Amino acid sequence: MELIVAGDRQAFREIYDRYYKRIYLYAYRQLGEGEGAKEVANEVMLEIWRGAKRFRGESKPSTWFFGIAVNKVRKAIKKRPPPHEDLETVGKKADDKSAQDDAIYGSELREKMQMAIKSLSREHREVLDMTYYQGLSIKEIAEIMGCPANTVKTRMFYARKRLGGILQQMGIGGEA
Amino acid sequence: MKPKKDKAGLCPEGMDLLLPWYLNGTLEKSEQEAVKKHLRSCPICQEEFATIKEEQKRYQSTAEDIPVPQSFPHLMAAIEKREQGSVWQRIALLIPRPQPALAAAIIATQFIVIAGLVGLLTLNPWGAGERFYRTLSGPAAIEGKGPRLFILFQDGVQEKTAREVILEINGTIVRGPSPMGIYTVELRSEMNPEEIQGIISALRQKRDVIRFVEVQGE
Repeated sequence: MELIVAGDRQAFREIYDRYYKRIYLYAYRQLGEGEGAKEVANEVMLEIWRGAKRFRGESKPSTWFFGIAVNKVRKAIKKRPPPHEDLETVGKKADDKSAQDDAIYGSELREKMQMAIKSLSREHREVLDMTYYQGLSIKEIAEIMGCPANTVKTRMFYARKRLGGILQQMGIGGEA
Repeated sequence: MKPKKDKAGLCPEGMDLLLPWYLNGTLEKSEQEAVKKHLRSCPICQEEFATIKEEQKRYQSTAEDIPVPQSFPHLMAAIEKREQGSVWQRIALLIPRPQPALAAAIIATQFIVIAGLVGLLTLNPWGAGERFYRTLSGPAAIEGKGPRLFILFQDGVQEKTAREVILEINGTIVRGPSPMGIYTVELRSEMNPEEIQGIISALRQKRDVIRFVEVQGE
């Protein structure tokens, strides 16, 4: 981070290689579309590049990066709320598109999964993404989301429960 | 370490709430060990853990179809474009910003200077104002110790002429002109009666200017 403060592009490149995709995908899953996600990811990188001197080293750099990403995504959602599909629509769409559930990791299943994630609340999407995709700890998530660690645990429990319910309605067997 | 029982969990010991982080390997070492040990004996958590593993796999698979559009040079170009931004932003960057400590010192100095000036004006140690603002008659006239004359000038005598006459006798107007046009003029306190009488005689001779002159109290 000190190198970035000094304007070292190579150091910034390393951060980019490590985090850009993760941040982009996080934003993509939260916003449900690519253009907004790209904008958020770029803004996060710009903030890292410009504001590295504000990083005080009290947390891990990744926590700081995702903290920025979470705020940017929240702002983007406020500005332009994504179309929120109800469960019936999600289920219907999924039924229309997929005839077979045995394509376990196929693109149709991924699409269903994406639709299910999209139909979750913002807080549930955040906690699921930070745990399953970003691999962050309870403490880091609590810091980013600004809530107690116990809230993170229960929020994750309910997010999983809700996701499982949606997937079940979409015909994807069992609880998730 | 036993986590607090949480009503949200399925497992009576609440361990299932930790399973997602047991899987991503970010629990504290003691927690990691406790969950590992607990998993051997808890069928609820075993089932839940299998679900979570599957769920995570599915979740991560959603990223496979998502193309990541950016490349580093594009990002840098976008950043540079935004950094060049407005002309005003660029000008603002050229203005040196003082360090917080320096800024605090400047503010403190300004405060001390202002407080000092206010103090000086209040205390007035040099008697400013008194030294520079003084009446023509001087402080002696205020004492009111000298003999006083009533003088009535002729009609049509200009104020300038009246003043010249009073200055000639070193007098000071202490009152007047009254509605009748009478001035009360005080002479120097050290004058003796002869001198006073001489002045009165001289004034009375100026008939074209003075109609009447008398000593106060006579």
